[in-house]
Amino acid sequence: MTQLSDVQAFIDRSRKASNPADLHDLMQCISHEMGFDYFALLHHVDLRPFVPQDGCVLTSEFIALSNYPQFWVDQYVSGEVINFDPVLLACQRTAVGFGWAQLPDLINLTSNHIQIIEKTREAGIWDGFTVPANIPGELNGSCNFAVGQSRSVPAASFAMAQLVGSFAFQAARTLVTRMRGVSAQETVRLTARQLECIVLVARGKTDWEIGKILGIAEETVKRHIADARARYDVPKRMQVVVRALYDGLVPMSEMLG
Amino acid sequence: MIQHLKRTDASALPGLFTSMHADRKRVFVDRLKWDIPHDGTLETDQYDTAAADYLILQDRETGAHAASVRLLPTTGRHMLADVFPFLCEDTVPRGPHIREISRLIISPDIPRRERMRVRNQLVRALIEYGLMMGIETYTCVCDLGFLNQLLAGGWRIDPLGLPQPYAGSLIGALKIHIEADTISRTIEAWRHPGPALRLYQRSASMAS
Repeated sequence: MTQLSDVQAFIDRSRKASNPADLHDLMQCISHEMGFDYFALLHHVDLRPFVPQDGCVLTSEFIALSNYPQFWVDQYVSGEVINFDPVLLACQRTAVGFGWAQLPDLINLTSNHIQIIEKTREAGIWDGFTVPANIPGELNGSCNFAVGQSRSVPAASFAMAQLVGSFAFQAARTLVTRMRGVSAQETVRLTARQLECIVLVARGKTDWEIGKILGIAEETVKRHIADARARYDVPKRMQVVVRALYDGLVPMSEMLG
Repeated sequence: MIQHLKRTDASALPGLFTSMHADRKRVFVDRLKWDIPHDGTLETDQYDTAAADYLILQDRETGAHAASVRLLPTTGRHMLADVFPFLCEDTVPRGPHIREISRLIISPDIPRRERMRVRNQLVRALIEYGLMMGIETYTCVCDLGFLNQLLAGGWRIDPLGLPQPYAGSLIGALKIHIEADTISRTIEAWRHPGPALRLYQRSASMAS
């Protein structure tokens, strides 16, 4: 198999990916094939309200897939690293892929950036190659490939990674677009009270606190959330939050408020 | 509407081809700094011959060139075979059902807010022309910085080789498949509402 036939096989399979888990598996295989240990394909958005399942988040607006160590993903998301990540900033300066060693040529590295690079390395993500996937009129995104400590980044695979990154992101974009179709068909209606409760759940309030804020009994809060869960047919309260976001019933800004 | 034209139509459309070559000079030579032949005002190369087909959008008011693309038959001389064969891992795709896209351009005079609409019209015309003429594949050489946008259009695209550094850029060869469902696959942001291509009405004496 040549590198090109590997890329073509990846493209053919990625076109058939019907869910984020499929694409995640394909990305994992091709990353290893190219000599990388890790990958992260993501739109550059605040992921705090979302609970990644098996390294995947998919909404009708954006996608994030990675096999980075879970503790690093948690730290990255909760610490809002995404807003300061020098790699993602560099994606705004070039439209073609770049090795992370090139970062100082692309952006002005601040002490904050260097600190993030050090933290990333402490998490075992040592060096990498990033393919920007920015398109006018869409959320910015990128496809990142990385190696662990004491492993050298496979420069001989950069041209291949460049293609894989762009085609993978296109497959991801297709999943997001399809999600838009699905959520439009399955929009569930929630009552105003249910929505108020869910916004407060998203902000990390307990049922007791929600009751105090809205001036209703804790039991009533529990019932509203249980009803909303039933309407969406999901077992966990956090999933109601995610679905309400997907469906655009609650804007993200309100969730974070 | 976008017209399908040959160079032989130039005399009946005063100024159109000239303004196209002038726009090509402004964009490819002056702005993108491509090292290609020009005479200081017009960019014209050895592929601008009777064999080439052009899809051209003409400004309705001024009659000047607004956007265009050049299509070369792959059975003869064309850029991928002559200049960029190293971008193809296998042999350069050739055949009566394969055309090469080059010199795709939107005039710098088209205002920013109009450019997306013009691009969509040009893409739609390319697909319609392909379907009408039995073209199954367009080949092209593409700057990798443009690949994400091109893929996002929704059409099925495959690489012909790994990207290579060339004159300070990273470029690659691609094939774009033209299929019965290519128009319906076009994503919303790239969609042109309705037919975009009009065949040029040549005078009776020429047609006979």
